[in-house]
Amino acid sequence: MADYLYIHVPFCARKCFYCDFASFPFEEQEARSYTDALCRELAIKKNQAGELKTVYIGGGTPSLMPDRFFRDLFSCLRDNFSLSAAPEITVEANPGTLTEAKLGLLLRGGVNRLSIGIQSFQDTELKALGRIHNAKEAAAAVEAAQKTGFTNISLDLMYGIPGQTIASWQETLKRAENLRPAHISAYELTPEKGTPLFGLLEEEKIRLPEEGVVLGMYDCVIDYLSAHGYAQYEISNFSQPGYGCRHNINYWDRGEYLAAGAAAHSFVAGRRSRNTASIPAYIEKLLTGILPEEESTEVPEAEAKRERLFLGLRKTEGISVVNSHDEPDLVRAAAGLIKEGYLELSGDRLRLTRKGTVLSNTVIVSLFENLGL
Amino acid sequence: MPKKIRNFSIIAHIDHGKSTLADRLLEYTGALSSREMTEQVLDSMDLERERGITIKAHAVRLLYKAGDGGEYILNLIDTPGHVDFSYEVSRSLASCEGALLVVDATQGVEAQTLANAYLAVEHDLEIIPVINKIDLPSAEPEKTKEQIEDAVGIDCSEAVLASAKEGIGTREILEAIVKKIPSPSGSDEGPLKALIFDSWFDNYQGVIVLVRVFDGKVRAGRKIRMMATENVFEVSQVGVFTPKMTPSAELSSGEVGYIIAGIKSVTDTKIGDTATDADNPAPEPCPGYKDIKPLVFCGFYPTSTHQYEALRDALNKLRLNDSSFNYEPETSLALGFGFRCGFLGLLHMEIIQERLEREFNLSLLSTAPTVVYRITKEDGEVSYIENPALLPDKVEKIEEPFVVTTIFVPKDFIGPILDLCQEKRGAQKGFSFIGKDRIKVEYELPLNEILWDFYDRLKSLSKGYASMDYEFLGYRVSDLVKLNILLNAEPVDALSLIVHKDKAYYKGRQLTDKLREIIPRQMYEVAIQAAVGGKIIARETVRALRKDVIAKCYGGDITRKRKLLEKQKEGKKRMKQVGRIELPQEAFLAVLKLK
Repeated sequence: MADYLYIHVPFCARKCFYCDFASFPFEEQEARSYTDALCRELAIKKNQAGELKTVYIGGGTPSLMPDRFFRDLFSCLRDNFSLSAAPEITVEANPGTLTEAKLGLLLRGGVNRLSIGIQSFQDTELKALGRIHNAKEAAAAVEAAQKTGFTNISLDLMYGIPGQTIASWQETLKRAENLRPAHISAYELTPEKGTPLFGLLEEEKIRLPEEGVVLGMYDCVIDYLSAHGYAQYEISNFSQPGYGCRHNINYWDRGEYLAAGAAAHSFVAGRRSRNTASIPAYIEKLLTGILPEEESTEVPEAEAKRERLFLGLRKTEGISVVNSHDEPDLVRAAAGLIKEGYLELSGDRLRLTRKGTVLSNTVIVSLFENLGL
Repeated sequence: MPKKIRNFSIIAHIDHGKSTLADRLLEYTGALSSREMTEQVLDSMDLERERGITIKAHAVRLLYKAGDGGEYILNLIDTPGHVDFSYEVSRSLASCEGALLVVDATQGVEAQTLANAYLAVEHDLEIIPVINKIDLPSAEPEKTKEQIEDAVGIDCSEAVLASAKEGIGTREILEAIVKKIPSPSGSDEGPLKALIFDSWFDNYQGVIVLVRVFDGKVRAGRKIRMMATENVFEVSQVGVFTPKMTPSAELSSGEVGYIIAGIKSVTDTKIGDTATDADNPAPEPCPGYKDIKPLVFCGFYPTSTHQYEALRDALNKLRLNDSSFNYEPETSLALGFGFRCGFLGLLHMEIIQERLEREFNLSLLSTAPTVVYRITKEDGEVSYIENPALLPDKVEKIEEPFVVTTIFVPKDFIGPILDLCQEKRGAQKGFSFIGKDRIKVEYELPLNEILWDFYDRLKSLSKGYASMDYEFLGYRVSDLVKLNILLNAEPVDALSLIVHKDKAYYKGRQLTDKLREIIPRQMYEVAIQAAVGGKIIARETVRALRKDVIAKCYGGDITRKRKLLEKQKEGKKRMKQVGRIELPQEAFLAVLKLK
């Protein structure tokens, strides 16, 4: 039984240059069939769900979807699932797709959290990323959401963008903070193979900022946001007190979750499974009542241990060494890394230091080795 | 009445069609139906087939009904074609009375054609020239014959024209074997005298030895004595390869076959030894082989220490099949416990390493190959050093091995080849035309200089046309120094090398530069220094790794990101920890990439 539900909406107005997620250009007919298929999948999977603590509708660009989609989805959710008290229900949104009407529809449908893909408040940087909006529209979207009555708003920001400087990043941070969202995610731009961005970098048509500059940007965001009331709670996530994203925290706690939609990943009853990323295949399978799973594997114990470590250490609070049955091993395995200042033991919790965070892959791999994992 | 047996080898330069010809002979004599033929039956190791070279000797019995109406037993003893394995060629030839000298009609005489032909002459064999690949449009059989007569000095008027690929000339070759190669001269009476020319370990039967019986007989139940090692064994089975292993009642004089005698360990047999009757031994063994010493040495270290025992066992097993390499334990400050291994040449080394990794599933680290230096200390004490790290700081003189290298090259490419030999500290000793447009040059060169990239450069400078062979000449005094590599101020013994003084500065610069490219960024800065006699001559820095973090990890990313970390861990596993620094295998071979 999973108390966390993820719903994937694989449509976008246009794919951004850096994006390697499952997303495709919006097409009305296909979106309609997709909505039906999605509702079928949810109906089949309802028995795997407990009282839902969170629902996260991500994408793609869910906010792009027509009103009908949300009406159908909300009624499907009402019919098949029960919610716990005070659930967190998030929809991902992009500026330029949030009309007043749609915002109202979402709020009335029970959505109480918006995650808005701002990325930057610099038009040149937005262009470099292939985003469809400009800085002005970004701010307008946030203000409109606040006006509608959303109080739990998260802004996605991005650093390490070609052409970005420390100064322009500080400006973006400042403008984001001025809007006083409850939550801010700040991601380093990661060029993924197969994306147009990756190609442009390979051909040396554009260049990422220097490594030292990118590290400086990371320092900036931690320092700036903590000075303005946002506590870091994960490598790339910051929030005002009490506004950490409960849905995402569940991932890092290695909690189970149910997922629906093309390319969606579930983790239920110790198995990780993945749906087909092809929209036509997804729709076709569900038309005949078959789950569109492409892969489903039980996670062996050693892998589970590795997951627990690398996911848990993403959280600023780290992992408990008391409740872990590996406890004595873990403390011993971490000793050298603690001594060298990459990890710290604070009370019963082991966590990455700031120095260790930016090298966390190396640190975690060392831990794996020391633990024989 | 002489026995109707003919023992012969096929010798050729690499790629001149030796294995294909062997296949054709097997097929023609019905040893294998064409349906059973996989290409190049005799190259049984995967590696041999992949690389298209023969590494091990093989022996197959063929039955042939000759034109004179007689039924003959033809024992084909295959030989390796690469310069590194001339020792194996020599062993095979000692078991024969004759040899087919196969020369590619499109290529002509090459360096190993010559080297192998000379070996056959040394063993007093009847040589039958076979001009192969005559079906190809670019074949020049007459010119090829002329070259053989010129270079090898054997009569080619009766050379067989053949195409092993097309099956042309197969019968003529078989007839020539019967007519020209003498039958074996030994006698069935008297004590057993059987030359061991190959052996290998079989998991079920123990050691299997391949022998050529010169005198006497051997059969199951007999006790045999190995004349060099003086071990006595009771024979449990004898037989021949047809090419399937087929037991027979006995092996008598002139025959080639195998003996199984409950031999359990490597050290109990020695290739080149003579097996005789335990109770009635032969007065003296067969003439011994030239005792070939390994010329090239390197250290093999397991990347993780728990594989040390497994590595020793694997080396032990390979040594059984290949007496031409040796090994002994050594300890490196940087790399821990491992083995210093000696090889005939670089290809031999590569093949052994590949077999260790592939057949025994070991993860190995090898140090850069080196030659053996002769050191005379100030007190006059002489020693041999196979590991640059062991070179003492103060020595009276250092001598290095020199070889005489024979290079065959079309005249159009001679210029750059001479430049290359010059660059490698060579001294020209001979220059002559073979036919109208091929040149044979001889150079005396330090072995050290031809170890590394010489062959590759020779090939690329001549568009692949040049061929080479070399022979050990002796030790000569050279102005050599030890180049030490320091990582974060700590000398890494496994990276040190001995270089000519004039090249030390240049090599030091190049090596530190190469290492900077090869050593991955780590949590700490790594300073790379090259030093000669305590003086730093070059320095490079690998900057510390500053950023290695996954920015985003949500529900759909977990499996992928976990795999990413696991891959990173696997990569780390293949690295060798030297102090706090992790070094990839390539770091130890960086020296090979220097010009």
